[in-house]
Amino acid sequence: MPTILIVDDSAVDRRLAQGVLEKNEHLAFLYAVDGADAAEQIKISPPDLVLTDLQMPVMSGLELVRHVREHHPLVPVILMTAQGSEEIAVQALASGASSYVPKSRLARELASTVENVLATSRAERHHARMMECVTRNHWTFVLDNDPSLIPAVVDHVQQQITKLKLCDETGRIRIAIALEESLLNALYHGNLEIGSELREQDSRRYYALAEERRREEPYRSRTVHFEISLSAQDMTFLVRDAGPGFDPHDVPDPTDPANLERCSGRGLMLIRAFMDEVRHNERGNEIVMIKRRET
Amino acid sequence: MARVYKQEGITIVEIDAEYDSLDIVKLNDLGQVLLGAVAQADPPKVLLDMGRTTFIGSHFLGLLIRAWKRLRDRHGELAVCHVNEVCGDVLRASKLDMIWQIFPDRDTGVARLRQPL
Repeated sequence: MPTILIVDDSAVDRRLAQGVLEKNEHLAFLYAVDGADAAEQIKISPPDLVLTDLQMPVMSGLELVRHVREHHPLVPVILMTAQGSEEIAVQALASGASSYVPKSRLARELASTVENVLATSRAERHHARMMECVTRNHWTFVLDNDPSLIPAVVDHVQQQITKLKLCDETGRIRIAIALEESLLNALYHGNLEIGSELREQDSRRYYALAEERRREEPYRSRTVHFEISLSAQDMTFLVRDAGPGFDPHDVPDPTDPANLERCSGRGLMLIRAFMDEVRHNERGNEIVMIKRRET
Repeated sequence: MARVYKQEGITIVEIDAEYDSLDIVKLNDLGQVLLGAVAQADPPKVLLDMGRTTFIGSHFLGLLIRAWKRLRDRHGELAVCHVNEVCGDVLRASKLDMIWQIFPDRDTGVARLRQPL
């Protein structure tokens, strides 16, 4: 039986809202006198839906929306608004409220709004539960040599890592750095065959040459193959370019004091620093990076 | 992209929050501002404020190395401040913390850079 938490500092208005909704025999009701009281109750036992007034002492309806959104994202909130509070209602919707019903139209609109929001919320909960059952996610991208695609692809990986709660924010950013480095290496050094020495000498010429080669064969038809495999135990990333490959042993160690001033090799060094395992294929055009779940 | 100003005679380059990735266009824009500030810095001492920078990569490090070399040619100094955990990791992993001083805040960095070499 879905539970509705009715939040209003006016006992009359709480009773009024319940009166409209209790025609539906399948609903149960809880009550809170303001946002703070509601937040406390939701923390102990989250209801299926929160129906709240906007203006209340201690914690307003808008503050309650933000609190619920942050701490209980699967609990929907419907606002009851008085005349003249439309602007705050818009803010509340932007902050994550599911809907709002003017108090003057409670009798006509509240029951159907609650029913619709509960149905949507039920579907979202099922989807969230289903996603908890996923044991491995796998994506494969085939990218052309447009560097502006790389931040978008890495952002996608970061979103998935966050959604699956695979590591904390610092760990996620470290992974993002390693992925951007490997994809940029594949694009510039692999597919377009431009060495980092040119970037060291003349960065404008470096990027201009990259633009030229993106339109010329054999570089133009080369792609970057990027595979992502995420599970609760580990994250595996494979990046393969279509260039001639390189010998990782030939890359100077940028942390050697003799090479500190050089630009080359730093991308690979960061990849090795931020991933748990890094492997190259024999041809040197493919890198596999593994990050294991922190225990 | 970046704001350039002076504090007690030291050139400060404060990177905007929009620089949060290895976006090449943004990096080139930042490079122009940084290298321009380095060229005009008198005395040749530049403090890079990274308080709003989320993360950096090798292309960013390459840019800093170029800026540092130009300052060094003028017997100057480059230092960084307000470095978050991840950016600090990148600098330490690169061993670049051995050649650039990292300060917790701008005032400490300025005070140190004001001292003679």
